[in-house]
Amino acid sequence: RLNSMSNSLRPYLDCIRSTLTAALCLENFASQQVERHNKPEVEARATPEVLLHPVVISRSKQERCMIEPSINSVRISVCVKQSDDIDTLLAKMFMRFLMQRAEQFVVLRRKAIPGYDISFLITNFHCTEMYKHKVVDFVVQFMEDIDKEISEMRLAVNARARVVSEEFLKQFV
Amino acid sequence: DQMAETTLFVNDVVALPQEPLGSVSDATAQTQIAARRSAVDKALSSQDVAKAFELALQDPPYGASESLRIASAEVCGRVIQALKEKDTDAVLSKLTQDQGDILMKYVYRLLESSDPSAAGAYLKLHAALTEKFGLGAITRVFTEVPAL
Repeated sequence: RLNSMSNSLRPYLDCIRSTLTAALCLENFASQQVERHNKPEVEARATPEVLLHPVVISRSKQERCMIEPSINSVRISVCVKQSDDIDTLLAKMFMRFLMQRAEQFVVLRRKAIPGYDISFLITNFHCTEMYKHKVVDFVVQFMEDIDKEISEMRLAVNARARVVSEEFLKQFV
Repeated sequence: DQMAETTLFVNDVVALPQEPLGSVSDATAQTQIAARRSAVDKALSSQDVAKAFELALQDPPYGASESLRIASAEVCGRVIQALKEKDTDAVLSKLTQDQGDILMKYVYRLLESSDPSAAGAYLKLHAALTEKFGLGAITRVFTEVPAL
């Protein structure tokens, strides 16, 4: 079952990987509004001509990835697959946990873009400190691992619920 | 005269694009899209997918309204869904670079709409296009003005 899942996930992740590799061609761009300041233009949105066309890659209604490039930064927002209420709750809690620790992840954004579950912000400074292909690998691996983690958590929740309800109902038998 | 400007300053060999990729009014775009849709349907019904591709990639509606550009992408989407995997290489090898760029822009536009059954075909074509035309095609989707 895992194999068939990753087979249909593969083209989606490959598409995101090549789009990201093309989008992550970043150069330094000092702020044109404030002297001696350097802001990620995709966040500041102060200079329209350095913002590039955003692109949304969607595999289904729930699984989407929006990539907003600009001259010195790229914002990647991901919608995680959520099949039912338990998934929604787990995804929300998991993403909140990760986003509170955004500093540890360096490229994670503390708040997701409205309409998406989690967001990354990669700047030109990240690309100078880290290998670009490794950053892309990280983002793609992150997306893959989130899916796995959430399905594992769902299985664990269901197993625990089953055990708890069995024990509870034993007293009535 | 050696000092005349026309002899001194020769235009660059590399022709950088001086203006955006042109712009089309909504009315013209609408008639073009309708004509393209019927031509593509005809080609697809006679199983000529290569011809349908060529027709679908003509007259891209740069500068038209968003809904018209999406409609134009959907005409191309019909052809992409009719394309079989084994024919992909043959069809892509006949495309020029400009046509490849237009197709890449249409593919991204189609990937925005969240149709799960079609997404597989679009993603496969995206991979084949990237292999043929490289990452430059993707960069041109981001950078070229106006958006398609």
